[in-house]
Amino acid sequence: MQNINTVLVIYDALINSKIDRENFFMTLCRINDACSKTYCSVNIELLVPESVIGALTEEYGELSADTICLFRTKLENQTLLDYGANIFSYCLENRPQYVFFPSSIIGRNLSAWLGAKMEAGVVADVIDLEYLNEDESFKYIRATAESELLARIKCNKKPEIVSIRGKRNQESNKRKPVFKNIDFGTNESGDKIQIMERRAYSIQNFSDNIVIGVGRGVSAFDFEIIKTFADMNKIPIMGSKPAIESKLLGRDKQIGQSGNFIHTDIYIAIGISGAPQHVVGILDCKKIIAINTDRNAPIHNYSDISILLSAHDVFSSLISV
Amino acid sequence: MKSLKVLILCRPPLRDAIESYIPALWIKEMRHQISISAYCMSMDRESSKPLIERYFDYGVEEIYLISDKQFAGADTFATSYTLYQAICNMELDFDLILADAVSTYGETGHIPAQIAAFLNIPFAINVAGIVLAENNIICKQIFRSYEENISLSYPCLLSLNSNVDTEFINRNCLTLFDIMAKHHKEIKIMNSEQLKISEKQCGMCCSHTIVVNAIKMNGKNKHKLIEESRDAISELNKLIKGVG
Repeated sequence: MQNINTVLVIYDALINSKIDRENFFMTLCRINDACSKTYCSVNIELLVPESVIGALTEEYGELSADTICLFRTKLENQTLLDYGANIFSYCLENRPQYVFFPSSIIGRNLSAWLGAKMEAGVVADVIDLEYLNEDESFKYIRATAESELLARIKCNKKPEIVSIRGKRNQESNKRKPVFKNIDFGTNESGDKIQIMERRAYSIQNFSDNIVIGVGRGVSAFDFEIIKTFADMNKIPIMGSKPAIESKLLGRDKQIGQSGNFIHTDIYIAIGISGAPQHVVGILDCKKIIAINTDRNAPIHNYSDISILLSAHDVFSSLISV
Repeated sequence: MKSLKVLILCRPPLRDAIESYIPALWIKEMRHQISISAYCMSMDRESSKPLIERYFDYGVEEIYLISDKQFAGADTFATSYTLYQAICNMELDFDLILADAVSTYGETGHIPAQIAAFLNIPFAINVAGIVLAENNIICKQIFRSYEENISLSYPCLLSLNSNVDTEFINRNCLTLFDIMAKHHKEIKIMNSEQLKISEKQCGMCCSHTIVVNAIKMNGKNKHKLIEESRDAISELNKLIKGVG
């Protein structure tokens, strides 16, 4: 029998790291936010490794969910295929109507793999979701590739498997979770996949209060001036797709639909036109400052402060102050 | 293993840039290690032929373009399922399938993982390094917080990280010799009838998602406009000190 009201949210990394815990928490915030807006009555169930839950609750307090399923299987022994197969067998047994992953590389790939196994509808990289009580279903919003519009998508088959971009906000914490222990016993990989080595990155601890973004309008020369300013103030520099393509920055620094979503207090967009694929990645920033000489650039429609001056003038003056 | 049979699942390139041909670059890279016969499959309109044709320059032996109006409106599930059926019905027997981690519509990476699931073969995602061995392949997968080296047995599927460095590109990009050696082969266009794919097994009939409508992103109604350098510096200093 199908449990029609369950949203299953799945932890999406095979390592216990702060950045993945944060991503998972922000995804949960987005889901809770969507549910609380319409007072919908879905049960939120989390599938989390036992080794991760301690750090998660220490960092974010009690998680707003109805059930937290803890699995004891050691993460370091799981391949992605094992992890996917264990989630698949859990879903077959418990029949959640919605299966949500954080939108990370692993989350998106696992959601796709699971969608094929379950012959389910899959939506990737959702930037927001809304629950419609009259339909008793979610609708998902994501950016489209070549248009200035966002697409509102629905699935015509259950379960619905979705990867969701997180949102940084204070969780309402209305739900009080019940804990449940489960075992992950599937060894799908067998001798087909073997882990030889797994290495955690040491993540740079940048201030997440402020980020500078550079775009097509920034020359290599001006980039050096901006970088001097950013280094002086310990501000990370990221960029839009044209800045990545012109090799000013590595691809891991890309902001937007194909890259990172940022949730900072301040975002300074320099020489960025404001294409929708970039803008979806900055919508959760509290304050957006656009520096662009083109007063018709779309970025000014999303900014709180628009500076109609060249990056060169502004930043060469700033570093000489 | 004397030779490796590789199928490239290529996304329709948006433009003729080297970044659109990452799997082809990897084929050249792997040829330094082992003899390879490479084939290419893409699902798109016939008009994409000139861009897909470029794969011949990289030494691909056959290119199959899966194209039919019945495939129109396919979501990722239907696209993957169609490609899976094409691979099965054409009895293409491969040791390795290579695909791009980036789709035309962003870094969703859905198609490779779904095809691996349908074919029930092991897969690696966001692969940034490959070492070929006699009976297995060793891959470096890179994620946001960690990386890992895994060994996979054949047949398997790899989705390739698109962030390749300049040295890699220089080592594997097309040479004048490659272009001059190009055999004037024809892309083989396969339709639903040739692939024995029924209407219900592809396109919108097989899709599980529907675009309900399109909405415009909300902008901000009020914003402060600064046109004087002095004001800009003062405002930025104030903001940065405020959050610092």
